[in-house]
Amino acid sequence: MAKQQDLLQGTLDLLILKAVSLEPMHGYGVLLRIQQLSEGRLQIQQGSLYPALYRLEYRGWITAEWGESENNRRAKYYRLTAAGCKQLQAETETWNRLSAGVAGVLNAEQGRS
Amino acid sequence: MSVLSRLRSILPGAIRRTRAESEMDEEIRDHMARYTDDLVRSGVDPAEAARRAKLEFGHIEPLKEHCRQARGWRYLDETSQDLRYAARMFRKNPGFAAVAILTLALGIGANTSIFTIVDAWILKPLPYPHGERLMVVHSTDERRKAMGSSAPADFYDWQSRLTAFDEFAAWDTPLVNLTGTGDPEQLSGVRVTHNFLALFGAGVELGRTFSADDDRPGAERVAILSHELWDLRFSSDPSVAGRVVRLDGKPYTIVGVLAPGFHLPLTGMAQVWIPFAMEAKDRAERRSRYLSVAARLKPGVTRAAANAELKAVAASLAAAYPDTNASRSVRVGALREEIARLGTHDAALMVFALVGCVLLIACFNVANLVVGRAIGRQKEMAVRLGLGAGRMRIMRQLLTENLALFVAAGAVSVLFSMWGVRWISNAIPSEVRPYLPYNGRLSVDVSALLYTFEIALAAGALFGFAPALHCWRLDVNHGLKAGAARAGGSRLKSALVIGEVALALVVLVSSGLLVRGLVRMHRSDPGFDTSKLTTATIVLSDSRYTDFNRAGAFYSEILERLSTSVGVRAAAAATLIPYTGNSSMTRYASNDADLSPAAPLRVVRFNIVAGDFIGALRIPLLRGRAFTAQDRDGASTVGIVNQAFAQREWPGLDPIGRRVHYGPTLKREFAVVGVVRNIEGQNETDRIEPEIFLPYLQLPVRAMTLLVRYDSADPGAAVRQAVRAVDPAQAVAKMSSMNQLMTSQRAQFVITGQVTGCFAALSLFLAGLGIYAVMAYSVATRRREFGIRMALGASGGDVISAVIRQGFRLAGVGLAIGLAAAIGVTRLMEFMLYHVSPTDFPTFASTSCLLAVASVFACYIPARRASRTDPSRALRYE
Repeated sequence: MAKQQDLLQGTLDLLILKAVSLEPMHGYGVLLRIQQLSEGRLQIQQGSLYPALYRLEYRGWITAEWGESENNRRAKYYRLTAAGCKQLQAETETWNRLSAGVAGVLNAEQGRS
Repeated sequence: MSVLSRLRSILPGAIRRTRAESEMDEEIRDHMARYTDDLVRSGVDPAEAARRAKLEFGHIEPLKEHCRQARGWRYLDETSQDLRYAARMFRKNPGFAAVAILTLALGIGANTSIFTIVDAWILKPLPYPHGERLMVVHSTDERRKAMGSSAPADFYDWQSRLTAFDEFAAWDTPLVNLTGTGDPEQLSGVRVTHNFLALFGAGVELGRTFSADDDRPGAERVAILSHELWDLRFSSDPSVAGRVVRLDGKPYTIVGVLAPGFHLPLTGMAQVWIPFAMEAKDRAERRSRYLSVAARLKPGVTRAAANAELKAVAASLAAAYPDTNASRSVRVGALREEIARLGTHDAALMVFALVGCVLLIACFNVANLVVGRAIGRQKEMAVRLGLGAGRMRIMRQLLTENLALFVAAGAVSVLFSMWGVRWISNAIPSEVRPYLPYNGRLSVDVSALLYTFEIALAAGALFGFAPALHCWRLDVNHGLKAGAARAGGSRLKSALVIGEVALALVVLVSSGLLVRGLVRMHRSDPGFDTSKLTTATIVLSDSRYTDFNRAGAFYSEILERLSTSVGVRAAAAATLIPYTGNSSMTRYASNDADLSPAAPLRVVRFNIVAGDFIGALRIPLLRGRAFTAQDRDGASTVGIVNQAFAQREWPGLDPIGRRVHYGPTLKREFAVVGVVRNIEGQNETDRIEPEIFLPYLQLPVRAMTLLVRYDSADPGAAVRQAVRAVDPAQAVAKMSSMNQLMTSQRAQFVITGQVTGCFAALSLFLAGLGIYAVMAYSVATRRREFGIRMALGASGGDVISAVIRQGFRLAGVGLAIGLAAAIGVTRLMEFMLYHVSPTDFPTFASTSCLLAVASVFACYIPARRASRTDPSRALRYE
């Protein structure tokens, strides 16, 4: 099975939390939304999406319920919980600090050369 | 995340597992359908779209497995799956399961039984407040290297000078004569300082405990009853407090009844408690040492520090009172160790070690069975590995299966351990019980059950690991090859069998030595006639018999009355009688050189006797004469010695007429007038000790035990009648026959011998079973080989001898290792061996032969099966 190689460890969880925070959606929707928001730059392996969803649900950050979707299909809709909301904030901050840090280092190198 | 919320997430998941599974399927199907739709919408051919969706999604089963894992169901799922699988395997193969579970249950049950004893006697915290800080203080005589009781003046000096202890209490255990309520009765009394009961946390059911005022000189005499005495003698009378009873003729007011659970092995059977209330002159006594001393360390003070301080105080007392305290010192022992010395704790630990071996044998046996089965299932495992099952997963399954086996065995073992504990508990003689923790009561309790569960799990994890390891090393290609499977694991199996045989031999030899001791004990000649002999202890109180000559007259009259009673052959009395564990030693010198002050101190067991003790015991008189009524006060002092004493002092010479000096200062002396044969029963292991006998008319004492030899009917009534006629207020403390005394003294050897005998039988059986299992397995795998051999002309006998040789090679290695180990460990049990050397050759030889014969027999059954192999069928097989 393909591994999630093009995303940093833990990044997928953050992206899912963010996607789900916008509105309740089903698994396929999450996939599409992330592709759409990243303008196709981020490809999520379908195989790793569901374990990640189940893991987040197990940790209590998202919760799921079955609902009707368009054309009478039953689908499982994921929604952010209060704990998930907090987690999303915390992880966003961590991510921002990390990327700012990484960007700082990279810029400094450019400036010197 | 907290455990609770994790559970909350797992549990509903587990309950609704089927629904959750189908939901997972539905969700994945939905996802693929949407993706396919999207692809079709973007212009892809529907069939191609479905193919691409599937391809991109990857394998669905591993994905689902990952999802399950992410949800935290997996472990629960798989474990319950494994357990169900294990149950199915056991049902399919009930013989294997029954043998394994029964074997283990016997091993674990035996273990728990002995653990219950070790726990009650050694491991459980003492049931007294601050039990670990409680100490017993012994007065020691550095010159004689002896340890014993303390004098009151020393005790009170320690109490006032020592800073390492926060409490100092003393006790002694006199027999007291109860009168004033029905027949006179001799009670086991405990005289204590007022703080003693509080020190050991004894509460009262009724009334009050002692106060400091009760212990002052001239205080009103008060007493506290034990719960048992209150039940038996006072019919649990709730208004007993305030009643006056007479103890040794003096009035005592009962002020309380102790709570039922209180028991202290140090004081033995304590029926009535009274405060010392010593007069000033008694408190100043330094010469007579009769107090036992208990003390509690201050928090944070070590035993070594307390010991050092006590030694310093003892040294200053020795300097201040050289007459009495020169060469005297003190030693502090922890209460736990003191209690251990009273009981038979070393024996319990020894048996515990042996039963540990039995459990190991059982575990080796089961590990062997389990490895055998794992090898048999090698192909199954290889197939599963080939189909992508994780090695960890398969190992875990094997481990779960074995754990289930061990836990089931643990559950069954509870029955065995309850039975074992009841058996041992009932075997403890009532005379010994009061000196054991919890009054000798034993029962399988929560800690024993926990222990059972723990060893079942630990053994399961340890020995269930072997087959799991085997699977870890399994090579898929190799494992799938037909027939090749059988080769692996044989080294492990051989090692297990060798270990089993070696351990079994250690158990067999150890119990063999104990049992041989038992046989010697039963066959031994006590040196006197133990049948038709009754004993009755009488203690005359010093308050009523202040004059020793009156005490002498009492015994003279009793003996005279008894010897003329109908049915009595002979009557005597002695301070030491056989099979009681009592001992009394005196210093002595049998020649002039020993009389010089520089001579080393020599001591001998000494016994004061009255009446016809040679006739009552029927000890052969080897030389000289017995005592007569003329050996009285004022006549020349005489004594009789035993053979051991005569041989030690005057080897090859005539002992008659020789003089012996004795007593603490060697001021007393006697002339030897007779020599009697050695008798047994002087100590627990019937070691013969030198002993001297002195006539009571020249050395009257207050406490003696009557020895009455009778014709047919037990003369108990005659004894009571005689005592009542001479002194109506005097009670007889305890009557028992000499055979009863002997039985109870020997009980610990008998119990240990029987228990270890059972263990030996179990080990022998298990070792035989182990060898049988391995050989049966080996024969089954070598069927084709035997077929070829027989086709080439080997006879059935050739095959039998080949198999037996193979099996016996294993057993032989085990026997050799076992012999070496046994020689090493039996030395440790010397203290329990009754006249048997720890390297007793006949025991070693016979147990080794027994085990060897059992192994040959265990090999013979599969060997015979091998010899009946039909070559044509064997070659077609597989």
